[in-house]
Amino acid sequence: MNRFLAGGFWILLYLVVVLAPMFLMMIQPTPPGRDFWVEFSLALGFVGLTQMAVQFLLIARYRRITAPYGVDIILQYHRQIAMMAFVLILAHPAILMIRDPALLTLLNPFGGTWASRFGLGSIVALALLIVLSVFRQRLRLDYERWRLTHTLLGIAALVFAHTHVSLAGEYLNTFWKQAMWKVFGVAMVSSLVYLRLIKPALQRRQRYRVAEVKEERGDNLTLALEPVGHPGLRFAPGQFAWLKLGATPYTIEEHPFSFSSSAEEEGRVRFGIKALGDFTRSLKHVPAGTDAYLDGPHGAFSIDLVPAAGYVLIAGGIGITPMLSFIKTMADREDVRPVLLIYADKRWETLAYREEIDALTERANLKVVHVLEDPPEDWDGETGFVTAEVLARVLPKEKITREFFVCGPPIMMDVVQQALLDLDVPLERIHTERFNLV
Amino acid sequence: MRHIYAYRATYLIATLIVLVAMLFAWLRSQDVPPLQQEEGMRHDRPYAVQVAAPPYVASSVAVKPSRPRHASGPSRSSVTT
Repeated sequence: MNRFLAGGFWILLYLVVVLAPMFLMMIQPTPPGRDFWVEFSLALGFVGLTQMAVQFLLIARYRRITAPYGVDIILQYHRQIAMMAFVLILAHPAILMIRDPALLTLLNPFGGTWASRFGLGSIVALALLIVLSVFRQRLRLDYERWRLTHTLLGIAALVFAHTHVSLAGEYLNTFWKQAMWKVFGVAMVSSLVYLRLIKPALQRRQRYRVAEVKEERGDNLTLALEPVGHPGLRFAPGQFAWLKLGATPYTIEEHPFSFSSSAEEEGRVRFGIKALGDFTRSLKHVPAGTDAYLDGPHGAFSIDLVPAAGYVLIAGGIGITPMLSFIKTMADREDVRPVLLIYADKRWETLAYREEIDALTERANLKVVHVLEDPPEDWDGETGFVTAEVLARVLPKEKITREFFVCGPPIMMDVVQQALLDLDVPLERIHTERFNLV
Repeated sequence: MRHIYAYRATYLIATLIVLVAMLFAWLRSQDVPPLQQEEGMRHDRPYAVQVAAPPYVASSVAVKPSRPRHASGPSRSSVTT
């Protein structure tokens, strides 16, 4: 199916799933209608709850759902819509209490009803979940512990909210309505079963083995994996996969990394990784032969999805990884379309993969511009950051026919995107990859 | 580009959801029986006591009438069940 059609279809289905339960509540028998604000508060509670339940579906990495947008977009949506669902859920009791202050007594867990206690419990669990996600780094909560807490709090919030709705019983006044809500909640949470049990079970049959760990310049390394007993996965250049290392695919520790190898290479896959955290720092000590499992490929940051007369690739630091995959794939395909690579980093000595990129200029129609923040004394190339001035100097005249791919630290991507817009590059031609998952 | 479009889509979806919730509320508020309008807000409390199951509530989920613990004393709260 066409990517845009598929994207529209999933958005439409999402809206139906989120909104339909509310309208099913209108099927007779219904309680007598009340004034607008009471009904509005109940409606907000319902849609807040269905959105909360659908979150489990969003994070399950169903490739069919994520493919039109890229899983990074789905996770961005997951974060934003979670905030919105929380506001809607908070608005539900707030409107009722503003309208009838006597209901404030429900805030006291010892003074309310069981329905209100479960409602309160759901809101507390949600608030805690959001605080831990937003302030994870400030609270120095490690990723794995955060992830476990996040899942448990999410389930608790959903179960409490469903119990609240069942006990309040306003609209769930028939067996089938009660059953429908329970089936809906269970169906959404079962996405976790798919992600944590079924997917790992499938990955068991698609095992990989660490073939090589090669240290690169600037605290970077290349991790090469080879498939064991299967042909390996096919990916589009620029995509990424979640990597698990060790004897079991059921571990909660997994991290997303971009492929740095050519999409045309069969079997072995390579990842470019920068040592930024505990896991990535430990990778250089991983012995060859260690078992590995991949969940992927994911992502929509790919030249294969955006045909053009040529490309401009702008990379900062380890953001070079998907660009390497682009260039190697084009070289293997003997693709002669022009590519300009603008590669920024701090120093010449820490510029990862520079020899490999030099070699690629022989095999692809590639021009490379390095931008160094702290250049050596005899440097005569571009210095500082990738600004509008630098881009104005180095971009080809026919830039309007090119597609622009930007990957690097978030601040750099923001600056480069704005600079490109200032240089009249249409927004539709600027593609970024943002890996800031939490 | 995808991220900016995704931001816009999120705001659009959020607005649509709130508008549909308003539509639901409006449709339901048109269904207010005359008796309830006269009695004021008492019946509007979603968590208020239902001493007897109204006719529209199926028997399987009907709320049983609660037995007063202190027949002659004041009720603890007007909103608790």
